[in-house]
Amino acid sequence: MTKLQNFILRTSVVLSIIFSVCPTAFAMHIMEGYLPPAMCIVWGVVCLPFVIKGLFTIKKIFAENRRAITMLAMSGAFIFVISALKIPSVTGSCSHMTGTGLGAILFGPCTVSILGIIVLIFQAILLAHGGLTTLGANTFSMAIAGPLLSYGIFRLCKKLNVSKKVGVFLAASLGDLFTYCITSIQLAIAYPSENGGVMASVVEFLGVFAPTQLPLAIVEGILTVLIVMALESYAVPELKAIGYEA
Amino acid sequence: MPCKLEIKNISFAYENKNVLRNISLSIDPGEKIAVMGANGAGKSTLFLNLNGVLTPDTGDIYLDGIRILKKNRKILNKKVGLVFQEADSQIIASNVRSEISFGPINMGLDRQEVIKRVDEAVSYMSLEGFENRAPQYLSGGEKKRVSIADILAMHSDVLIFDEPMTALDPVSANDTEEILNKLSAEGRTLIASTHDSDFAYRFAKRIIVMCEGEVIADGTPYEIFSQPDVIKKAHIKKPVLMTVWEGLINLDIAGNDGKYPVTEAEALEMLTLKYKGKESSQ
Amino acid sequence: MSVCVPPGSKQFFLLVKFMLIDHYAQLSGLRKYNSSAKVAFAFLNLCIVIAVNKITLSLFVIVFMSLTALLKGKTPFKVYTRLMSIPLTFIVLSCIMIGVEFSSRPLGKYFISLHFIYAGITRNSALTAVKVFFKAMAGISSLYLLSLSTPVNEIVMVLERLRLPKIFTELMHLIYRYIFILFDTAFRMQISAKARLGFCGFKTSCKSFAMVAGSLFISALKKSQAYYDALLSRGYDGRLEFLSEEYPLKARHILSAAIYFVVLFLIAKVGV
Repeated sequence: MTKLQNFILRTSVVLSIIFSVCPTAFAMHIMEGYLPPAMCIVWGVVCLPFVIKGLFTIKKIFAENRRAITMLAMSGAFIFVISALKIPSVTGSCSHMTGTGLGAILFGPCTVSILGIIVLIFQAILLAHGGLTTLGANTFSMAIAGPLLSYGIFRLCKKLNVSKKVGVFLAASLGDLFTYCITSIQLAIAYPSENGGVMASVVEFLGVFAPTQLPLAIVEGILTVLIVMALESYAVPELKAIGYEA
Repeated sequence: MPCKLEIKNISFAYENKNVLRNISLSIDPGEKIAVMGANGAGKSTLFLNLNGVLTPDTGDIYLDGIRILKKNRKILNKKVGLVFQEADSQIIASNVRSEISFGPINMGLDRQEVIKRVDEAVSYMSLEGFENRAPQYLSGGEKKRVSIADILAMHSDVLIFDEPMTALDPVSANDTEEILNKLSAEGRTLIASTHDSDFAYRFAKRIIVMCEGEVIADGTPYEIFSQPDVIKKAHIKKPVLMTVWEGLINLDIAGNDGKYPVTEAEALEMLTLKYKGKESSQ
Repeated sequence: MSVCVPPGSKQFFLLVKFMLIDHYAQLSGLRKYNSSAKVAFAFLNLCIVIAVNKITLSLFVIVFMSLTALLKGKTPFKVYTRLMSIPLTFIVLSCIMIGVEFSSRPLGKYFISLHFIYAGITRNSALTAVKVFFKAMAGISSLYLLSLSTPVNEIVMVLERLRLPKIFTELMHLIYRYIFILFDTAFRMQISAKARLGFCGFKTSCKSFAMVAGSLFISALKKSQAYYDALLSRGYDGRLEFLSEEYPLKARHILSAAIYFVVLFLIAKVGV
């Protein structure tokens, strides 16, 4: 047995023990207390313009259609519930959707930033995923960066006349992967490697979360395609009402 | 102070689907009315119009002679309280006290008055001890009581109950019926939609039957349930007690003096009176 | 407080499976403490934990917070340990990553050669990892003390008092309420899908999950229409306002919090 094989074997044993002890391999929420104070503040500030833009968008929606308040609230609750349900998994560990791609495709990135931040607060308080001091960092990766990319890809695919299924799949899974990259970067910046610097740490974090995140992104893509197709087959008027163009 | 509600020729359509066609009704203060009809007959839509959530496309609603327009329709919200069929769709706050306070606060009352009304409604519906509970920790019957307390706190004169007994267990249904009777006895106007003929028969003094957006019959329970064509058209059932009593009349056991008992107890009493009376005269 | 959801009921299942924290927050012995004070205490505590970042302080906070939640808040021990294990995967994994350094030459005392690069643990990196581990656990225990003693609607009311945008807090109120309604629906749909063998095998599972999610969304949107009517029927005029009452703030509580923070300060000064 080579050293590499030996290492892989040992790591896999350690990982499997960890996963069997705590079966909930949740999406990439940075836990409470993990980030140093400066990082908490910086990420919070980075989120601010997006959140303010989101607030204005929602205010505009309400001004045009007051009925939207219960509709948006239901949509927020939907994202929360969808992210708390167990999804079918290939690896056997228990995993969940992030729902960000789906949210971005259905409601657009501005609305999702606000719904996302509320969902993240509730996930922290009600499910203990994520935290209050790490809210800024999590909001940026899950409610801003991921949805923005998803939305961008979704629109781009539409413009390029790529089939809708492919577009939705790419949007959701790449958005998911992007979220995971951003989180890895956030973690690496917070605790850079002593001699390799931030870049080495980024690679490290990307590597360690890849085994759970890569399959998850693909599953998320597939599920999002299936959900969007299901919605389009029997809910066109409702979708129009929330501003989604089929 | 109870008020008179008048509807003149109202029609209403959802996206060019006619749901109410030319309905006229006059509801006097203190009446006790049951509205019956198949699903989709337009009962709920009528209620939403009466409560001011929807505005009729044509026709007018008058409250104590005042014509209700779009700009003063908030009077209807206040004066005509609507208890929804599903308590879950009505309850919006995450604790019972806040929930009951929602209506009074929207009416622009000051804090003291709001607190007073909330406390009154809580004790009227015997919700003491539930004040700080979240709706997700209440049973179906408790949620129903909260949804009624919501409306009581607004001091509405006309109370509309959209199918008050559905999805309740027999005990809760019984409690709700008692509350309805108590509210009526205090002089409020009560309107309740229902599919339960037995309930309508013993509860209401007047029954309005709707079919495809129209009022097809309006009268006392006896009048309504003795018209087979109305019963058939509106997909309702004849009350058991009435069928039994008719049988008793045919068998010459009950007297045919045009007087029908409304409850089982009343029927028993009438029979007892008849036979006890006979025995003593013999 | 006698919130009783009968064990074995559907409601109980839902709450235990998805909303464990909410369930115990409603039952907490600390529920009747002033909620603004609880939020302020938890937040200040969190800030101190992450700013000071000393193992002794973190350990003290973990012990104090757990004991308070268990003894004062009356959260069952089993539930508390179960909750504490939720974030463990993430923390352990990321602390290993902080602890292990990769480089082209051997580093520190312990290392493994991986052909081209070496993975090793240095004194510094190990220390950082341990510190981060305890800090994160301390942060989580502080968050739990808040979330296990204060129902979400009370936290939202505190946010309202902090003058957060109205739209934001209104949406939070409604979303909190609707989460339970949707869980209920989702649960029923999943059961009926399971009853029809919808969750056998990966492919069918995916399809069934999407079906459940799709119809959940449709039913959510349909319900939202009826819910808006219900708002209007009680005179809703664009502002969602409720009676919000605070449990009184007691001098005894302020004093204990003050003593706690003094102790924290001392530990931060002298601890390692």
